[in-house]
Parts: sequence; C-alpha cells; structure tokens
Amino acid sequence: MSVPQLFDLLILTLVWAGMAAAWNLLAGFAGQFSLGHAAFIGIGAYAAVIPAMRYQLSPWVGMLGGVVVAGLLAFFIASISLRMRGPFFTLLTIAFSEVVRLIALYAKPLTNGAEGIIVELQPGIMNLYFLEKWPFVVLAGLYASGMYLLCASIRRSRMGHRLLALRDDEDAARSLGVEVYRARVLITLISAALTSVGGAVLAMYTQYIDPDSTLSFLLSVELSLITIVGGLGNAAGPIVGAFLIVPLERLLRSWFGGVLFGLHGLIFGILLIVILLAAPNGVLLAIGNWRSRWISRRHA
Amino acid sequence: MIPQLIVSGLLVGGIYALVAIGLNLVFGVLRIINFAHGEYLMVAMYGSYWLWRLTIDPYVAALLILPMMAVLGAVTERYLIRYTLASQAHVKIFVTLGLSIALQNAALLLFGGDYLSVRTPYQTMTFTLASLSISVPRLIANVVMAVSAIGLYFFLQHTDFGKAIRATAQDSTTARLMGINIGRVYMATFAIGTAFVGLAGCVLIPVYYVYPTVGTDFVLIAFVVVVLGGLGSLLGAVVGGFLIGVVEQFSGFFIDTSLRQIVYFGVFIAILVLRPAGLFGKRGAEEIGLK
Repeated sequence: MSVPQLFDLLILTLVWAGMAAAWNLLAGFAGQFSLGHAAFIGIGAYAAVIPAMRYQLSPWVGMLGGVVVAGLLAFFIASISLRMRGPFFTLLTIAFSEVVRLIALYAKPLTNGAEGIIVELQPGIMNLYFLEKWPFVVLAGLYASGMYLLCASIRRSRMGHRLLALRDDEDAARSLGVEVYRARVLITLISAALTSVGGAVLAMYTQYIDPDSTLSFLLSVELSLITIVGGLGNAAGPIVGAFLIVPLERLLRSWFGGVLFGLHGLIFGILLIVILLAAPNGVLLAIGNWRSRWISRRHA
Repeated sequence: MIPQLIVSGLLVGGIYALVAIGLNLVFGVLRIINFAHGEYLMVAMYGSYWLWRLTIDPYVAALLILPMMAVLGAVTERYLIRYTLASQAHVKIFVTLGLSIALQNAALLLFGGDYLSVRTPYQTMTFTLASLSISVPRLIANVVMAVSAIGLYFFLQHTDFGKAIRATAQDSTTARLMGINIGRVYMATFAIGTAFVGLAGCVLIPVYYVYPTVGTDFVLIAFVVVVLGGLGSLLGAVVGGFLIGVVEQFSGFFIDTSLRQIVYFGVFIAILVLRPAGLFGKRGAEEIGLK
C-alpha cells in the first residue's frame, strides 16, 4: 500500500469516525435511532460546495451555513417528534432524509441534480482545497479527535447523565426533574450540526458531490453500523468501529468489487447481524467482558 | 380524467395494500419494524420470474411460491428474529436492516443488477368499463388482495389460533399466562406476513420489473400505508393502500411524476406528526414505542 492510499484510507476512516460519533450522541446517549443522518451529511456537503462554486464564498463560511441549516432541520424534526419513541422516530428520520435527497435530486438549478458538482477552487487553506492529501489527514484528524473529546466530555457532564437517564427510563427521568424534551431537542440539534461538519470535510476531500454519494440511505446505515460495531453509547465506540469497518469495507471492495458485485454488501449485512446477536454493545465492551472473564478465571 | 385517475390509483393501491398487510401484521404482533419485508417481496418476485423461465405461469407459480415464502418466514422468525425480541431497542431495529442489506446484495450477487420482467399474453390486456380503462393483471391483483384480506380477517376473528394471535398482539404476557404458546404465535404470524408479501410478489411480477432493490421501493410505500392506516389494523392497511395509490396518481398527474415520492413522504411525515395512530390504529402507540 502506497502512502497516498494509506492517507486516503486514514482520511475516510477519521471523517467517518467523527460523523459516527455525532450519530452516537443521539442514538447512543439519547436512545433515538436516526436512520436519516445522511440528510445532515448531504446538507453539510452541499452547503460547503454550492456557495464556494457559485459565489466564490469560502467553504468555511459554507460549512458554518451547513451547520445552521442542519441544526434548524434537526430542531424541527426533534420538536415534532417529542413524544415518539423507538421505531416511529426512526421512520420519521428516514422520511425526512428521503425528502432532502429528492429535493437535491430535483432542484437542478441549485444542485445540478443527479449529475453532481465537481469542486475546483484555488488551492489553499481559505478555500479548503488542497492538491495533496496530508492537509486533509490533519483536518480529518482534528475533526475526529474533536468529536471524541466532545463526546467524552458530554458523557461525563450533567447533560450526559440527563440523556442517559432519559434513554433508560424517560418517565423516571422526568419525575426526577430532567427536562426531557429540552435535552432531546438539544442533543438532536448538536448531533445533526456536527454531522454536517463531517459532510463538508468529506465533500471538500472527494471534490465531487451528488445526491447518491452524500444523501443515500446507505450512508445513514453506515453511521449506525460503525457505531454499533464499536459500541453504542460509548464515546470511543464510533472511533474503534470506524477503524474496523472503513478499512474492512475498502478491502472487501477491492477484493470482490470488480468481480463479485454485491459480495461485500452481503458480508456487511451478515456482519451487522452477527455483531448485534453476539456483541450487542459493541466489540469494545465484548473484549472487556472476555478479558475480565479470562482474568477472573485465572485467579479462581 | 379524474375518474380514470381514481380507478388507476385504486388498482395500484390494492398491490400496496397487499404488501402492507404482512408488514402491519408483523408490526402489530411482534412489535418490530421488519426492514427486510421488502426483500421478501423481491425474493418472491425472483422466484416467480425463474419459474416463468421454466414455463410456469406466474399465477400458477403462486401455488408454489406461497408455501415456500411461509416456510422462509417461519425459519427467519425461529432462528433470527426470536433472539432479538428480548433485546435492546437497537438490536430489534438493526437486525432486520442487516437482513435486508444481506438479501439485497445476495440477489445482486446471484442475479446481477438487471431489470427482469416476464412476458405473458395477458400482461398488457385491458378492458373498458364505462369509458374507464382497467388493466386485467392489476384487477386480478386486487381480487387476490380482497380475497386474501377477507380470508385473513375471518382467520383472525373466528378461529382459535387467530384469536391467540390477536390476544398476543394486545398483551403478550397475559396471553402467555392464558396458556398461549406465544413463540408459535410469533412464528405463525411472521410466516403469514411473508406469505402475504410473497403473494404480492406473484401478482406484481406480470406488471412490474424485478431487480435487487425492488423491495426498498415498495417497502417505503408500505411503511407509509401502515402508518397512514394505523398500526395493527387490517382495514387500515387496505384503506391506506388505496388512499396512497390514489394520492400517487393524482400527484403524478397534477404536479409531476418525479415529485410523487416527495408527496407521499410529505403525507407520511404529516400523519406521523398529526395522528401517529393512523386512521384506524390505537392511540398512543408512538409513545409506548411498541416495546
């Protein structure tokens, strides 16, 4: 594996780790399983690219705009779904992300529809456009580590404890004075806004966006797969999950992608089922459990 | 034009209803969203496509496909779904999603991504009734839907096992205390659900293509239908199917065919928000989160 290939893999892994960490804030901490986070990835991507390509605005500004738009949409989704739990919320998020995808597909004057947009700018930090890969390694690394630190500190904060309480028993949490609705709206907003940052970084790195690559349902599935494999509700889970899943996916694709179309998807579906049944709380906790069992057996 | 739109909408809606009935039954009794429901449709459609290649007519093939789908459903419940029922929420949601991804890609691997369709002498046949044009295979699909839905209704209302299914749907703990083997109820319910979607595949193949992700397109509509009609309501699934079919035809005609998906997702969001119980469902289901 050459250095550019290694960098490429590292960048994708880190960006996915960061976005999965953002998804984990909502799913793992608040117990609301969104399968619509692709909408926020796409919003981040289009917000960074469209103003930059059309109005020569810095993608940094666009990224900020994406954060605002994603946050507003999340605020709206969260406020209309306050009483929904479990599968209903999941279905609602799917519907919203499909609507966003369809809008991106048909708002041709703005998004160029299914043809997508190729990003070409003056290289430089202001334009978030580089011809080498290493600046993106730095950027993705900053994003992923920032997300990890944020998740870990939210987990330990009052907010984190409130969220976990409402996840485990909403009525009990409410009766103890947790403002359940406020906590839920806030975390949905934060999760969406931070996901859109990842979407923007991804778009600037791949230098091409279209509805399929930034808004497909499978992206939402990917976020959940990464987080569940690593460990739901665990700040380190999405990072570990991304370092397992993204390289594995790349590997399977390069082995079978050309010859056996569909094999890597088949393996991923089965992998998801096996992980859910064998280690529903992710490999991190599963390894911890095996280790403690092994240690206690040795001392017995 | 408007009467024709309504008739075409109803004819399409009957097929949606047939897909939605199975989804709704499983949703109502096992309290899981079966994301793989559409993939069973896909499996049944490939099944009848290959039987057609062996010169078996799709409607005759249904006699073979139906029991096969029921067995497939029973096996899925017994050896996969059952292990998730007592698990945390995310396990329930994502196991069927994993199954859906695996089946879709297995189809891609086995049959490739091409759109396949059968050729039968009756597939383009239409007749005219009071200046309304009616497609024969779609009418057959609706008759099949009506007969099987009525059959299911009587089975649920008037047989002991049907009553056991309804009791389990209402309160599985109490049902178990009354001596109902709820494991068997779950297995049978899942089998009936997949048999229904298998039936949908058989009546759909003369009028539609089959491809690996065909299930996704239909299952999204089926979710809309189920939520619109109301969870656990058989009547709701049928009425919801017809309504969505008509809405789809109208939005396709008056707005734009390419925007009809936005319209039914809009309907979906509106129903989820304004009346999550749907037209005929029980209130409050969205709050208990179907535990």
